[in-house]
Amino acid sequence: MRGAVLVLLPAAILLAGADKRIAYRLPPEPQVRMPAGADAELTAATCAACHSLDYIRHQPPNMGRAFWNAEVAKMRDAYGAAIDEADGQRIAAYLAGEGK
Amino acid sequence: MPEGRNERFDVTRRGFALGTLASLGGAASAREARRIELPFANGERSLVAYPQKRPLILQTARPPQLETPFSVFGEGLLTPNDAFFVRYHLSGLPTDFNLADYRLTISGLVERPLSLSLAELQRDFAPVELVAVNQCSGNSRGFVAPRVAGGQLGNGAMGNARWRGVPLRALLERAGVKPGARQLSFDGLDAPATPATPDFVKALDLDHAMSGEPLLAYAMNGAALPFLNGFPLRLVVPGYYGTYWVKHLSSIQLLDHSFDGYWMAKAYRIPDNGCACVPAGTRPEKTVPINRLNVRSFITSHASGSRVRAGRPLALRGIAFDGGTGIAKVEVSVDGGLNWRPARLGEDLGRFSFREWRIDLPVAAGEQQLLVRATSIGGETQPLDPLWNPSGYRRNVIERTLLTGFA
Repeated sequence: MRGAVLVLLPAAILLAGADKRIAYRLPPEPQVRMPAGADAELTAATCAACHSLDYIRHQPPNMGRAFWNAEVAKMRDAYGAAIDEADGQRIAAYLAGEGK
Repeated sequence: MPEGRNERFDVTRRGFALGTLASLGGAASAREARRIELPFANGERSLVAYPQKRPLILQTARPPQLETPFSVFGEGLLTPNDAFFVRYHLSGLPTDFNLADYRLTISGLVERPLSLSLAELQRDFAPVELVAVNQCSGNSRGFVAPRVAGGQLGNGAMGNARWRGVPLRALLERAGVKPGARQLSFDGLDAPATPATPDFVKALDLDHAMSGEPLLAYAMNGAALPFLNGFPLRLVVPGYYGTYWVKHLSSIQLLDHSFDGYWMAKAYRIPDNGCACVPAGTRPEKTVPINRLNVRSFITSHASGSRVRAGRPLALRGIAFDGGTGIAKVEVSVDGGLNWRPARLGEDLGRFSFREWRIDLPVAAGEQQLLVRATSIGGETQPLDPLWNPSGYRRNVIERTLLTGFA
């Protein structure tokens, strides 16, 4: 690497409050009202177990069943979400806007 | 359904009313979160203030993902701490810190395992400073066409800060690297919502770790790291995507193999070919971990859709950056990319930093489309048409800004 990038500085201490406990509070989670559908509650409860529902709400519109199948599969297979096959099918269908 | 909105979902903010404002008769406006429209379908978002942050674009709440409103990049070359974007993967982020208990441990293939408090890191190692861009791998994903799953970000999942900390190399020299070490894994204090979810752990090769570039940073822009940017310590990997910049860093392990955890072996992978791209809608046969930033440039002085005075030179300004070779030139085109005019490069804060550029450009009456293109010292430039990959990573198409010149 080029030597000029890193500049040695006099030791500066940034320890204000080092002996203190610091706690932060996150703002309340926005409530995402799920669209009407027989599986709205199943979907909200399943997904919100691990993450806020804006993860779903902010996905592109009209993505279809294959997209939501893949998302449900990723949650189960990659992230270990406890979603059985039947529930996964219902959730993906609901998120794809089927059966309205 | 209208193109720009996903009407199937309705978001309200629970508990957003502020008591004092409500009592002053501002109940409705206090409850009403400020909104911003990112320019892609279903791009409406709230602006919400988190601890130590000004109102930022709320992408997700649990875990928090906050995008910097793009206008911030017009305020200066360094992104203020209170506007710097936030990205977590796991819902169990630390919110309660006791520096008396905090330790960074270095273990595995080392002669002397270390356990260091923040005070020891600050006292026992000569600090270094450098300016570097941290950009999310999926910055600008919302613009990817065809659309892909993931955080639907505008262009604001990036920031440029002056980081201060300890070179990773200095720590490794103190610990003494044993023969046979190949990679280092980095873990932070955040934890998954369920034990079945892979913990967020990233890895770097030993030679990269020893290059002198990666830092363990305890300060940004002259202040302690904000809580949401990794307090008290984060890994800074100049020139690399933000996924490697592990926050709330607590453990470094030296391994005799390539780390094969989910976040290296399965996630944050790009096509293993020259363009890191595949035909839209297809999947790559072979992938590698995402690594260095590609070159990008933006106009920051004018938002797309701005009205400007025609017939006189317009003072345009912007930023450019790459993965660490530095910016060689920035050019602007007003004719769709047929002809390019060179911009003047501004202050050089180092090869990992945003580089400012300026140009005075005569603007005709009517609608104009301005294109901006950067070329790195390494010879890389930006494509006129976007490249596509299934994860929506590394977008760096030549940006187009619409301006309307009026007499």
